[in-house]
Amino acid sequence: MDIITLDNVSYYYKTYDENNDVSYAVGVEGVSLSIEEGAFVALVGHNGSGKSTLAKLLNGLILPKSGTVTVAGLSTADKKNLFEIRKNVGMVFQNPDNQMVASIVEEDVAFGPENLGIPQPEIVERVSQALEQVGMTEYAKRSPHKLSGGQKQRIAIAGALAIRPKVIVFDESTAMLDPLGRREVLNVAKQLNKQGMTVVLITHFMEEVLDCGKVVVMSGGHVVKIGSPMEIFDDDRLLSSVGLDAPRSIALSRKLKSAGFNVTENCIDAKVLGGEVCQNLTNK
Amino acid sequence: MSKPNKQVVTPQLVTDSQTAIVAQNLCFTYNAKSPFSKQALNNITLNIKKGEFVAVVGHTGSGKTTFVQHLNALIRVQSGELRVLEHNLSQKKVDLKLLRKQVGMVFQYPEYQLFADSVLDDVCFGLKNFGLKDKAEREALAEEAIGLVGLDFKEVKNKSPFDLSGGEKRRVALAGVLAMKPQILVMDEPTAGLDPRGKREILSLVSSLNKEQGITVVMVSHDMNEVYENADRIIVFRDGQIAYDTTPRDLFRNEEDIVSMNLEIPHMAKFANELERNGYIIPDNCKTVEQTFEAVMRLKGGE
Amino acid sequence: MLKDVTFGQYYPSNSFVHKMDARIKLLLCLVFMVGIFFVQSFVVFGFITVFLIILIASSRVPLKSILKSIKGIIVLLLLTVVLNIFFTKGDPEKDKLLVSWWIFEIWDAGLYFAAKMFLRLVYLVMGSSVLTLTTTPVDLTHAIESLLKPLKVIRVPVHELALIMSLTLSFIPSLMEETDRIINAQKARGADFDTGGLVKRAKAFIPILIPLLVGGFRRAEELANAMNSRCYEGATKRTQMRVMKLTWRDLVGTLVVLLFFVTVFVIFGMKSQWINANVDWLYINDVNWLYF
Repeated sequence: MDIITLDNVSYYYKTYDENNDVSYAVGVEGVSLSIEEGAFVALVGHNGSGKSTLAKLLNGLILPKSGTVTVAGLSTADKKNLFEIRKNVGMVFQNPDNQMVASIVEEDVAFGPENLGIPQPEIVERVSQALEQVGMTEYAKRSPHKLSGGQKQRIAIAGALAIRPKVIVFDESTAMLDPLGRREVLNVAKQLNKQGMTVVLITHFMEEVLDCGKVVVMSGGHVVKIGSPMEIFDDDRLLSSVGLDAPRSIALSRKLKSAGFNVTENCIDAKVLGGEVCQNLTNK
Repeated sequence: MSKPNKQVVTPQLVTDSQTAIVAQNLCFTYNAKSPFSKQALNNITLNIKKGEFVAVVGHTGSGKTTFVQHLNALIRVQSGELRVLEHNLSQKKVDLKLLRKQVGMVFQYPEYQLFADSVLDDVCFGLKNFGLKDKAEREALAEEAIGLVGLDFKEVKNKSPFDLSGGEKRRVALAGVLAMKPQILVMDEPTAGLDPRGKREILSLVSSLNKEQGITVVMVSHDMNEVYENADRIIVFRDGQIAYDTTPRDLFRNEEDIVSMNLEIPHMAKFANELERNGYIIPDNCKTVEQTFEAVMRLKGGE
Repeated sequence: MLKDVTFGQYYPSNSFVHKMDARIKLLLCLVFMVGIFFVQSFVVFGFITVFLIILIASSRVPLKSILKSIKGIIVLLLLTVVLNIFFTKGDPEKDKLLVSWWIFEIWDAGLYFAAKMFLRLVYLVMGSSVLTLTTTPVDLTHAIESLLKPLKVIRVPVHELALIMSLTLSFIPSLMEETDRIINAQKARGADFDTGGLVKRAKAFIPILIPLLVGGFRRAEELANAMNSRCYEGATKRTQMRVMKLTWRDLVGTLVVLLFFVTVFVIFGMKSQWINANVDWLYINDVNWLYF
């Protein structure tokens, strides 16, 4: 069952060219895409490929110029649907600081349920459950300001979870984090997906998409390819042509495989790869 | 392989003409007199020569940013010795203008400091501050710097910096620092937030500035793969002290200790370590995927 | 650098005052602040001092934090004291002229007035800092929103104002950090904020202000997107997690404050007969010490 469908969606940004005339830059063009309930989908592309535009289209923050975006059967074009749509699609953005509404963690997480008009006792329950899901329960009464980037993003995730959406979209949520923070956020994303949440991961780090069921590659506002992570890596020219990099270990394993080594293709663990290469060399 | 191996380059306080930075027993405590005091640096001793490409890494809060901000006197020396080029930063009086011209510093997300009406004006800001009065001369230097970062001077010079894309803005900010022709370039996570292509372009620019123009580079980074491939030397900060000061290849042989510091092992280092464990040697200077691949082919061919 | 400024920030504790309802604290604080300006005599100041001691003790906040907040108005204090000492003209019939030099005259009345003004300001700041130290900014804004609710009737956007306040409060720390960062970045490019005349120094702040403003707009947009994504639709239908309940503490607190102020004002505010009576023991050197 598809929870989100994009049908030939296009969006343009107004801009000014050299002569100060109004012109339009492509945000996305002719994008058709479907996301199944419970899926773990990655949206990858270089900066400017349209992936952030797509993120905002998913919950009606921006509306398509043409085409339709349908969430749980509702079209984003109808203003009356937006409230319902946003109850179903939670978003976690890139900047950990600019999503905080309150100066106390649990107050921030409660913001969503408060907006939904949820009765007070249930808000308390949702907040504590959301914080538990992201592993931040002991920080409930603290100020978010002094926390690490990864912790702040986890609180942002809790804030989205408290609304009990069907889908969570991570719009480059790891881009501003250090490796530890990135791992924290990705672990939460994976865990949520295991618990049945539909997760859309928007990123340009190919290391993050390995557990995803489907990878959508974008470039210049268009969808260039859709496939499993391995299918994406198998297409040799694809990643570099869209300004992305395969994880180094995978790049090496592919080169070695082409050169006749008997190794796991698209091997993500460099240590395992090393072991296999040694076996190859010893057995020669 | 798992025993922490501290290989420290012997520091010398005596500065010769080849020394860029020397620190000896540098200490720093924030809010020293209050109950919130925190010791950020605890006896930092190191020596960086001109032309080196040094990466400074460490967990968040390890002291690396505090140290790096000493280099152009944004943070004044509290205790210990610090010499940068011909400046003795432990003294009260320091020629800040000259120092900051020679030590160019690029902060994280530098595009957030752009302010001028035009790209040209923003790039010339530093030049103006450092006393270059001749407008034509300033423009010439700005043109050079803007070209260096890969932008078309004629196209961008009169544009407002706020009309540019994120990547372009970052290059403009970089040009603003490069225009002053610094001898030392200090960068705090220069590739933060960029996509893979953007990262590669910035790094290759920095690398060429280092190799071709001899600019000493001190780069703070969280990306171990980046650091492994580009730096001659890596200094690891841990809890305010230097845990390691050595070559990239040597550093990442200490896999357990590195992981315990919440740092990642670069893919190619992991690969080379595994080969080494089984008796196959990859030369230390093979750091990229290409180089590693060729080294493996040579091993294969050699047998 | 800027990070070190403490804003009368919340000091966590489980004290009596901490647990009082924020609305009551706010109201009582207002009563206190208004009342302070009606205090005329040192004796009353003495009572206020006792009150403040009890207040600070029962709030369990360190005296250091309270004193720190006074640091902020040191300049104002000095100015007030000095001006009042030198320029308050006393009544030649009642007061004594102590020193006279050029255009400056120091009357004893001036000294007393300056001292009282000093105390007023200091106690004002101390009283309000007890409020901010024992009440989280969140609770304060909830309290203000709650107290202003009646104004909704005359179309005052109470919820929106409260939201603006709470957002501003939560962004102050990151704004200060960003300011520090921008200042450092421009310093690294040779910007000089210390030398030059007034005009030059003012101009020097443009490279700080513009990035801050632009950054502010960017933040605002990102925040708006985040809020919209979490179904924010304004004040309609909103519920609140934080529930404010009046407890026995609020009753006790109110009674204590009212007791103090009512007593004081009854005794000194009203010209009751027995105070103005010529009772010997009320007068020292012909001055009614209760009014001193």
